[in-house]
Amino acid sequence: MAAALTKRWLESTTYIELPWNAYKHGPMCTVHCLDGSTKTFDLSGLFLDDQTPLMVESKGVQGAQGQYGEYRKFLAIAYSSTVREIDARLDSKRQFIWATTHPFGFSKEWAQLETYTAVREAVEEFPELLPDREPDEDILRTVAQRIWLIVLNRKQERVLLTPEEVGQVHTLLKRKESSL
Amino acid sequence: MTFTETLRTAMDTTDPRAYIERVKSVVASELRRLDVSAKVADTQYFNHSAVPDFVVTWPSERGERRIFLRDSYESIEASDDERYLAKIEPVLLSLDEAALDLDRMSSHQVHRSARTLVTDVEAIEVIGKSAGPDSSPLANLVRANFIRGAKGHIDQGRAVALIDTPALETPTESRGQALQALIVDSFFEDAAARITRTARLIDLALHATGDALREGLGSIGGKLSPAELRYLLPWLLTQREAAQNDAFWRHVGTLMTFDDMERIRDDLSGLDVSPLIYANADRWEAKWAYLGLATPSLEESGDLDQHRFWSFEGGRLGVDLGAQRILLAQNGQLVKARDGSSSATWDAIRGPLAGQRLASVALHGIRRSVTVNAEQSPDVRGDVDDVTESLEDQYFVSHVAVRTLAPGDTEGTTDVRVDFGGSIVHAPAGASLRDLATITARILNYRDPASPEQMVTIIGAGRTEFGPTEAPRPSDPGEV
Repeated sequence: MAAALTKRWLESTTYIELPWNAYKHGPMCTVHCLDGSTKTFDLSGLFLDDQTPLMVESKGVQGAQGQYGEYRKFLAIAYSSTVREIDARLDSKRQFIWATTHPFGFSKEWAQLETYTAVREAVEEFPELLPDREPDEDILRTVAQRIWLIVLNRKQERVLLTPEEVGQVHTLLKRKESSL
Repeated sequence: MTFTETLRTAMDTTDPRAYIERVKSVVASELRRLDVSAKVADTQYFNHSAVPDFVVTWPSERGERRIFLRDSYESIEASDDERYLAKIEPVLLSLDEAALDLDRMSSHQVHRSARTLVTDVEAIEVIGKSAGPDSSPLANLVRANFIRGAKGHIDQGRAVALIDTPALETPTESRGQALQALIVDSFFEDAAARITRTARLIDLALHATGDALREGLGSIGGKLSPAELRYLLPWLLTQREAAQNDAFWRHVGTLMTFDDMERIRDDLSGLDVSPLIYANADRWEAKWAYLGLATPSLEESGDLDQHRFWSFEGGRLGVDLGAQRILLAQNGQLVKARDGSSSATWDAIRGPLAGQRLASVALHGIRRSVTVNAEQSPDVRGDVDDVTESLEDQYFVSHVAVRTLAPGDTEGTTDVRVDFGGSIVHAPAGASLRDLATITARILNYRDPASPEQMVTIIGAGRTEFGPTEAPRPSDPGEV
């Protein structure tokens, strides 16, 4: 249910399309890291305005639970897979969204969770994802800018545009046409 | 390959753009095959939570149906799409072949729109396979109405039950009644009414006689839609029992017009439509008739009975009369006057016109031309005789207008203009098929007027009192 709410909320912004999910379209939701490992995200898609791809990890939880640890690995995977693309000169400028129904990382200030420092600490925590090389300062800063941390409240569904309204808005904005 | 096999092949790629293009192309083709009258527009979105994948519309109709592709029934359930999209009354189409867990999905029954259809590709394949040119019209109607008017949860099992149309054709049996209930449950009210009405018509045509037929037909009213006609008529016309049921075809004539039949002419091509023409020759009206050569000529084909019945050949309705062919049309584009200036002599057509009320006659003499109109007199025959007898000249007639009774239940009269040069008959306000055909066979064809036996072929047995319906002439001093 959390993934459905996340998808609906992000798509109702009219900027994002998330046609793929891990259950049915694994390859479309999977990134490859430098150590040869893979990570499959819950949802994937793209920004309609500039076709930038994005991966979404959706967490439907009642408490912080072990999210902070998972989030740090999420940052390390984002970094490792981005470096792999840059190495291959195929940087898609992929964005990474962590969407959760409960905040976490209370030992940090919330804004720090998306910073260069947070990414660097995550990469250092999971060295297996960066075999035989040091973190690149520029890429760390680039990846930090590509991280989105969003907290969703189920009550937000109450203020979502209805499907009819989303359809009307899309007709007027023609975001999809600009991406074809 | 079947639809589901083609779809599986289309899905066999990890290229996101190729996946979407291939899957949507396959699904759109299948939707168009299901309902040939539908216009399927691709929104370019795929599996979006609020924007449909396809918007289906129908020419000349206001409604539309939005179709959302979904991975599986599970994803429809997990996203609560039936509740979220309820107001749109969409089609939610699962691309997965896994069966529908009805018990699980019914948990959302309270939120469901009564007009949302939840279905899957297997069900679509079953519905699509069931129909074809040789299928029962009911199977075709179920198919044609599926996108437009199906609702509820229809998985493969339910689709199989829906196309058990042999049962529906005899709805008096319990299996038929159960299926009728399923149809009512699975289609919008208007679509269900169309399908069950067609089932009733088929039952009556094939099985009912006498009082049962009369009572049964009396309960069936309204107008048959183009889709119903397209599937019902060709099938019924090829059923021996139905074709001979004159009372049935008379009633069908009240549910449609000649114009309706002409519009589905491509579906009736080559079929013997005489039962419809004979039964409705007085009720139905058209505007045009034409007399031309039969093609292929009878001499060449060697089969004298080849076209001795009303049929659409090359999109035009006609019947052979000897080596000639009479065409009837409502749409003026279907018949064209030939280029000709030949005229009949007044003496030659006086006989065939005997007993007819004439509205106007165009006389062309060597020295003068006179057109006699019925502006003052209800019948110009006397005036024409006055002209032709008083002036020494030989008169040819290029046009004559015969005044007949208005067709069907309409009061008053209608004028039917015979153009001898163009070999064409035109009733601007419409005339009964019987009058048009008779005037063509007897007056336009004045050199060899149709015999009583030939008139049976043209307007049917029991209607051999040939001659157009004569307009009453209570006080007609002009009569000679």
